[in-house]
Amino acid sequence: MGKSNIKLIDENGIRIDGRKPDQIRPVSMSVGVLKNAQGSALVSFGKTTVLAAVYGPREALPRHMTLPDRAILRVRYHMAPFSTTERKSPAPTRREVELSKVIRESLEASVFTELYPRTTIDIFIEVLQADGGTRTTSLTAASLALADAGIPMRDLIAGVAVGKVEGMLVLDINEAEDSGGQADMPVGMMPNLGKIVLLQLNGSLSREEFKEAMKMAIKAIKEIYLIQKQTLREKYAKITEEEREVE
Amino acid sequence: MSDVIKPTFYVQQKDIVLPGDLIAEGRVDINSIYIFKEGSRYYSSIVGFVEIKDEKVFLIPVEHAYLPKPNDLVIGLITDVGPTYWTVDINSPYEGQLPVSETLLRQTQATIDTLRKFLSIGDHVLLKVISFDRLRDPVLSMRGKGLGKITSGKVIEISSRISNMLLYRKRSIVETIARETETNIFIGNNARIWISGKDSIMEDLAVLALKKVESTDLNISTLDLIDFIRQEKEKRGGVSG
Amino acid sequence: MSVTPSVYPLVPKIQKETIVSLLEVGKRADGRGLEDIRKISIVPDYIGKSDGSALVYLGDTLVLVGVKIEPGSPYPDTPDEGVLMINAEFVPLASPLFEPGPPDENAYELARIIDRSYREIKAIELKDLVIIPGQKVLVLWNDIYVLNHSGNLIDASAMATLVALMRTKIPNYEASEGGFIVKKEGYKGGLKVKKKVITATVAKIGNYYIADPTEEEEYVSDARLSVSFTEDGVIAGMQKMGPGSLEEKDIDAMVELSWKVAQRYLTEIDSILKSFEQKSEGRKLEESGSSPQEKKED
Repeated sequence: MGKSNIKLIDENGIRIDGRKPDQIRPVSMSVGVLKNAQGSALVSFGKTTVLAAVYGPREALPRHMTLPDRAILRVRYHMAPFSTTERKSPAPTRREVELSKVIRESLEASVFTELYPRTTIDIFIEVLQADGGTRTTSLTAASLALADAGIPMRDLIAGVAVGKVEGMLVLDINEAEDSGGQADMPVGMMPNLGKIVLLQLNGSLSREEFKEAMKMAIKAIKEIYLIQKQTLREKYAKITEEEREVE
Repeated sequence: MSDVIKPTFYVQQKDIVLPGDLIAEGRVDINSIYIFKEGSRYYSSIVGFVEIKDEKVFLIPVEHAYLPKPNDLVIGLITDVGPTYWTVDINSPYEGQLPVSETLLRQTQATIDTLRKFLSIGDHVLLKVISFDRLRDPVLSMRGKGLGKITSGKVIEISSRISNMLLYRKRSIVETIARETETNIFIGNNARIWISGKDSIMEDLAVLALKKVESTDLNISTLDLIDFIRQEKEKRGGVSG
Repeated sequence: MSVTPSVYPLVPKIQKETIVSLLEVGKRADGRGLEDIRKISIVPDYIGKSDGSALVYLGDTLVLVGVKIEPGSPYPDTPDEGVLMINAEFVPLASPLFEPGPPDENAYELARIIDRSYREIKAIELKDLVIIPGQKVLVLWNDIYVLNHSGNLIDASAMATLVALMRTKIPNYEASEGGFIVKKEGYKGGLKVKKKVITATVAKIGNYYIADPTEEEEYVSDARLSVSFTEDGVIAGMQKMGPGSLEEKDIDAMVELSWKVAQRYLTEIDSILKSFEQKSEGRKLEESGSSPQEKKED
């Protein structure tokens, strides 16, 4: 993370986009946004926008790639060429390969893959606009899309990144804070079960700072989780009302 | 001890639950693959509706992949013909198998040619599920009243949630469409619908009405639905009932 | 695209049960205690043609790191710094599970974990790698070569990388009058490692945390946490691995254990390097200048 001449936090502790250190960006979520996919979700944290779609469970081909006792997950995290300041080549980078893996492993902790042996569940993630926190936004969107697809799972996964900027811990860092800061720590969690499924740290923190950052992340994740649940409920709320009228 | 045994319910009949939602605690009679246990607590694993019947808790998923159950009636599509069986797409993660022994074709006559003549790739069939355990492909049967090759009409696929609603809760909508378009409408357990009528125009009308029901998420009154069908009928040259 | 591995070695159930029941009495299959690491042996300067190298055994896990420094272009945002490139190859001879071909996600992940631990904390003095500021700099290629996979590749690679970098000498590249870069005889001096960075991995199996997991322990573990530290205990990177989950209390305990393990790795590296340097000093005096590697080459 390079040094930057721009002051990222002012003397009153306000960040460059006007937020307080423990404030997340405006979050918006919607589910069922793509007609063809079994499940889909569009999630934004500020200017970061991610679209996730789920296909499956479906028959996996070739057959030898399947598992006899559970479904396999195939996850692609991909950034659109126009999502970044400078055009990004659509060919997968080392970073995208790694993030696909950590997101897959996180989702595997939640999905009951044993319910669909010999099948595959495909999760395609497209970062449409990147402004920091793309992997946690992706994880949040992928989990919503899985729920929308009716794939059984232990809990929804919500995620957020905590950063260290000018010596201060701040929540849900944007790109300027990520590139000008000293640390970026994405966390993904199944909040109802208290289980952390994604944890990475890029940068440096003292062990005390790490514990504090973890607490901040967990607190914010619980807020994000409520928005996820509200989003799913809204989609189906109408149906229940309708049904109650019939009864 | 006593509060462990006495169950506490956190949900009510018809509630929407989401993955990770707490459903009950203690000793509860759970009857759903979509409910899982952590310690003494029961959680939902899907988006679904709660059904409590005779102290038992069920979850009806709003969207789900079709998992065959014995005695389900399914509308299948023949995708391959083997030496002694047909492979059938049943709109599920799992492909069905229809063995010769489960048809009226005599096994002694079974050769690849007679099989192809009997049912070939692209044929729609109405079948019954006889067995399925997720480790082996579901086995299907054509032996039974009404089962067999679909030789007329149209087959459509709709969302599993809407299909289940039409099948179990909203029969009246299906009956309305069938009456207004003078068609027979059969809803398979696998979210496929077979419409057959006296002519193609009326079948198309029924398909259109079903798609309308799906696109409005079942939020259409019987009167509006009848209006819709009649208007569409007018456009098509006013075939009268 | 990342796909659930379907070529997992099948760990028999009874073996998993054995591993867990041993952990209950504080033991592991290879006789170690839960917090013990395997035997470490390190051969610094293993590859004479490299500018720095180290061969590291961690139990049966074998990793070789070779450093090559070559002229190249700087990153636009750091015109007055050299470039650090960390790459990893899981070569097929290292495991029946490794296939020939471009690096897979595991190799990328490993390289990026090690890379991050050095990059953000600026552990290497990259300012010493500049030839013409803004135009020509030296690129340091740190290639991690996994030669035998018996678990915990990350820690073995972190050790091999640290030793190789500490042994790296900067070749004598200069800009000639016509703007060409020419390599002169000898070396400019040693690479400055400003902070010693090490990564230690802890696996969670059932309710137990174990240091330096073997391959088999990795497969039965719920999840692993790799934590990078500087020698003064600052966390320089972290990665949760494996398709499972951890609670907050697990993470706290695993970070503490990994710091203990990291200190052990650093102590081991220090003592091995010290005795190696003493020996090679002695040899240098005897052989008056020519290093043993160059001799082997002839």
